[in-house]
Amino acid sequence: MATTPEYTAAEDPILSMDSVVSGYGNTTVLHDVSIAVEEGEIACLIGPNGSGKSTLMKSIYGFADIKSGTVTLDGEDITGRSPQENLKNGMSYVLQDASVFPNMTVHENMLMGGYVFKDDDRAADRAAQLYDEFPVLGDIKEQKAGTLSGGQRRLLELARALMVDPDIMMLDEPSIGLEPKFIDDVFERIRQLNDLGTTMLLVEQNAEKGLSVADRGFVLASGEIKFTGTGTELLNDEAVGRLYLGG
Amino acid sequence: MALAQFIVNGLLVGALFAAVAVGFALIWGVVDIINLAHGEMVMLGGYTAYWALALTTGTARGGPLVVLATLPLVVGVLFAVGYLLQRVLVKRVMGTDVFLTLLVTFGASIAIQQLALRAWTANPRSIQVELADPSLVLGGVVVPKMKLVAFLGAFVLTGALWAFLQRSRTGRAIRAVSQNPEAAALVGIDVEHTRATTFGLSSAIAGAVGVFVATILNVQPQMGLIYTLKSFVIVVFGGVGSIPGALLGGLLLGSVEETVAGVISSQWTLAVSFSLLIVLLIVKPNGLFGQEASE
Ligand SMILES: Nc1ncnc2c1ncn2[C@@H]1O[C@H](COP(=O)(O)OP(=O)(O)O)[C@@H](O)[C@H]1O
Ligand SMILES: [Mg+2]
Repeated sequence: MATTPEYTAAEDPILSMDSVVSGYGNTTVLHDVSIAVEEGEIACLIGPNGSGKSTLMKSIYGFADIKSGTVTLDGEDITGRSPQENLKNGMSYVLQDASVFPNMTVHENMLMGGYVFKDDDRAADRAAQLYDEFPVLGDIKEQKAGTLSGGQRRLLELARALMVDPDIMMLDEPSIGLEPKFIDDVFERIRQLNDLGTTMLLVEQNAEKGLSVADRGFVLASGEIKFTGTGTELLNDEAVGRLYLGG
Repeated sequence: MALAQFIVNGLLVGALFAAVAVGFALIWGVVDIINLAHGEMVMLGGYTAYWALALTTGTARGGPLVVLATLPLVVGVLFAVGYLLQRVLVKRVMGTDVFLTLLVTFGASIAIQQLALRAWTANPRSIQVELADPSLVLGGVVVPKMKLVAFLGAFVLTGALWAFLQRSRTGRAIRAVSQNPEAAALVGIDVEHTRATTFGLSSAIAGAVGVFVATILNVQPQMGLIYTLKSFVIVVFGGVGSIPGALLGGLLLGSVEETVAGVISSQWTLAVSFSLLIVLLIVKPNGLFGQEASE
């Protein structure tokens, strides 16, 4: 692992993976992965397609099989915990693939985001708050989610993940398939949410874009962490640039 | 006048087939499994009521209210059977080859039949409902009272299921799982529990229908197959996963079959219903309500 000297590892991480080996059934995807993210940061994970970025997030959230190692949230061992428990602990997640319920309206989708509350009034209040923050969604709240454009759908997925008012969010390629003007919009939102105190772990295909907003970056290749550093360091690192930024 | 009688007869039995098919459609739509053991739930429901009466009162007979009082028990028992069927068996073949899933549910249906045969013999059994005046005559059409009760019961069951899916928290989870299982897990739904619950609810309704069948006809261990077959036809007819489609499909199939049986001969019923199905599939490949595939 090549770490530049100025970089300091997270000392008191809110989220960390310690020597995690994980995958799906008999397939191992991550080999001995360790990362740590400090509270209030934006951390960005980059790496080639198929390197295991999504699997890393799924391992944290309980969607992949962890063979060894531990995942820690806020000092607590959460290895193998269900998504339900993670949501209750203030962590939410936006998948890389489309994850709306197509035959439900935008509003019903939002309410599903608050499913773990077991309290419809509370979920409705929170949804109303989020429509104030995302007026575009408020305007289309009676529309079926299956009819939304790519940008609207991504916005709904993001807003739905905010229903639990998370302390920490994982976003897997939030800008995937979006037109450039929406991409800037999404990154602007990420910055705003982070300013309000939400810790962010991003996976970004557009590595330069991702690293430019990140306090901390990780480069994953073939299921192993190859480089860590601040976003700027990785952006300027010659090896990272040559191998992963196409420069 | 005779035609009116055939159609009424058809609607009366059609509603029962429809209520069974609704559960079959729900499992197909939500869990993506064609449950070939679905008809056995009708059989088990009928036997549960039969034995509940026989063991508590000494004879499998009673007034209509006594018979209806077995419904909560039957619903509870069959919910558990369906829930466990998914949780213990079907779960293991989820997402594999469709032939494997068919084989497993077919195997379950044979196993349940054989166990029933061992336990209760092949003798048909029925529940005798004591009614002073068993039939109504409305405008020249004879309506057996118990068939009318069964007809209304089938509607109540289907309506209750519909309302449950639309209104309750579990119903929302079921719809979410049917539309996108991964997203359902993402928002904190226990997908396996929800799938098993869907099996449980569908089996409970089939079991409740079994109680009505035991009162107006009889139950015997091999009765399930015809319910599974008809459910299949009705669901393909109405559109996979559609509850209104299954309801309408059941009523239509019932009236067509009774009319064919009455006017021509009962040997023609299957030929006519399958021909109708083929014609419909040519005209409307997704079934009557196919566009609402995941509701
Ligand atoms: N559900 C799954 N079952 C089995 N293998 C999977 C599954 N999801 C992903 N993989 C495999 O894991 C590897 C890493 O995939 P992924 O984590 O999606 O990479 P990335 O997000 O970096 O593109 C790939 O080889 C992929 O084929
Ligand atoms: Mg990915």
